Amino acid sequence: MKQSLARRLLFPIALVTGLMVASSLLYDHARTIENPALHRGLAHLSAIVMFASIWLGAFIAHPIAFFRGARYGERMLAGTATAMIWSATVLTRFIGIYSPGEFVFLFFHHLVLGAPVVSLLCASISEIVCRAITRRRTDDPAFRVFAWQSTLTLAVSLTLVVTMLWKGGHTYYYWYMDLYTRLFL
Amino acid sequence: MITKRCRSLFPLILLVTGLSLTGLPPGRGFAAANRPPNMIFVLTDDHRWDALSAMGHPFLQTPHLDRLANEGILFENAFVTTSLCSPSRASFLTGQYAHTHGVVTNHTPWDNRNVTFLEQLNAAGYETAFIGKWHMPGDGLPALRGVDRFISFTQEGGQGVYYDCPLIIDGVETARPGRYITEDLTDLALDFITRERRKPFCLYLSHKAVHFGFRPPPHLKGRYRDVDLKLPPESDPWIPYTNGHPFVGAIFPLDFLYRNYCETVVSVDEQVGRLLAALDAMGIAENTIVIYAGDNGHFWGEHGLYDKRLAYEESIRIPFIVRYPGLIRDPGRRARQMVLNIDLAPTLLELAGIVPPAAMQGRSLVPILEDAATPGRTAWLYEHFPVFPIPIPGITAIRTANYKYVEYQEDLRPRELFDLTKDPREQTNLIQTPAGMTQADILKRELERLKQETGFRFHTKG
Repeated sequence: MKQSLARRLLFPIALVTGLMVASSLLYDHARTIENPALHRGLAHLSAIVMFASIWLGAFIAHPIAFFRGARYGERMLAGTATAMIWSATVLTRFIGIYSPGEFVFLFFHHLVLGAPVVSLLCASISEIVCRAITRRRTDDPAFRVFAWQSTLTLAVSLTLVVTMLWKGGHTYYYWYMDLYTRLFL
Repeated sequence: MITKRCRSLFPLILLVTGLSLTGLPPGRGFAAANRPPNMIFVLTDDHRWDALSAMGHPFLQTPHLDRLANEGILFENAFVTTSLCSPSRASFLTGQYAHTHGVVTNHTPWDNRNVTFLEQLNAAGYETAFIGKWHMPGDGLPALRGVDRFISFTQEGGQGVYYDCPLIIDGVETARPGRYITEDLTDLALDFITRERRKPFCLYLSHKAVHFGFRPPPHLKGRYRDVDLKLPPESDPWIPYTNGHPFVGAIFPLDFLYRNYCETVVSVDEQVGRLLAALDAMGIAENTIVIYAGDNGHFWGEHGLYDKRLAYEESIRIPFIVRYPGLIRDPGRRARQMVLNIDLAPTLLELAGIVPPAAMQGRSLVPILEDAATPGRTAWLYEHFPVFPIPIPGITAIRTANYKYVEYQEDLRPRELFDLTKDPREQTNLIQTPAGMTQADILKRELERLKQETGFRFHTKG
């Protein structure tokens, strides 16, 4: 049953992004706490929530969007929005330091591209899981677990993640920096 | 002072003939006997100033570096003019600021028109060797002038690796299976200094250690597994993952990295011990200058930071120890004067009796080595240029004995002013206080003067 845009799309994005923002603020605040045990405890807690919301938040946002009737594109957006917002905040650190061309080139750095791509992978895995649950619930043999869209998204995102992580990320990094050198130096 | 210098020069007049026989030009040399001094410069990577037991580190034991300090002079206020590997290394070699020698970041190539102190010593009759980390961009290794033996590596963009690192030995790539790089480079250094020779030698031994990934040799692995690291109160294990730090590529918990860092420092200390033992065994320790330095500092959680580059003390301060029994009359001294990486080249040249060229922007430390009362510099310029893809803007700063004033490229970050006497950990930015504004104006004028004096220009590419 398709619910309103706010309930099927904005709510899951706001939920995970809210977790990310709150934990990020808490992490930064923890440093100012003088009690070492409290500082350390809060730093651990907030950092775990922050990283889980950024990299794995798709496993929360996507199923909510899926079961509230969001379309495929909306489901993928719900799964990746928090990571994209995070990457955007990361990019703000670079504003004014480098040229506009270098700034655009930063979009392809694996630490900027990585979070949305991993989220896309998580969302596509979640998509398959959610489809499997739906098929079991509806007992409809015509309902395909591996729909072409989600399978293609899974294949592309998995390829990108493996490429970016190959040899601990060194291979991608040196490709990236070689290209940077050719383009900008 | 003049009288003292004249006294030290007087016996040297008698040595002029001897010096000329060795091929050295007559000039101000500091020979303990009738032979110009040998020189060994040991440079490590990311070794911050307080990571040795002589500086009161809470658990690190570095007996050989301590021995250097006890038999020489430990400069407690030694700094780099740019806290980054390649620019700092080029500054040690040339005696110039990064904006002068042109290696402004780890991506900007070495210009082989640059003149190194090795070239000048070689021209004056020294046998020279560069062994270890070169790490400056360019098409492979340069045809470095004035170096009789050139051993380096180009793996990992010139960073090298701790184990099995192939070396380029006088132009020939050579596999080094089963070798740990700090030991391997020391073996090659020992091979160089123990050769039979008539000339004095200058060895530039430049380690990969203690750069990331901080891999100690097997016998030191785990030495500090259970110690209380006593990291700063504002630190936490997540710092390498947060606040833009992942862009420097060391994504592990801070305490894990720091334990490995400390264990790797110990391995450097052991290898320094081997060098000193060899000098003793050869009977040349008295007439051999040994200088130990790091190429920049390193944050271990201070200010919530990891890595280096910024102008805070943890990033810009380095260990700097000079041992030269033939000249230093008060071994074990702790010098408080502010000295810089660009001072190395003119110092070694003066010790060899060569007048440092005007293009060198550092100052010879010989007067301080001779006399503890010699005044040091009152202020100096710090500079950092943006290094793609690191989210740190360009920086210029002035550091005096009591204050530090920092400006960022295009005011991308607020200006900073710290009273280093009252606030040595730089926790309180005074820039907005009435007293701070007055002081900042004074320091800004001095900063502009230093920029003008050194020919500063901002480099945006790198």
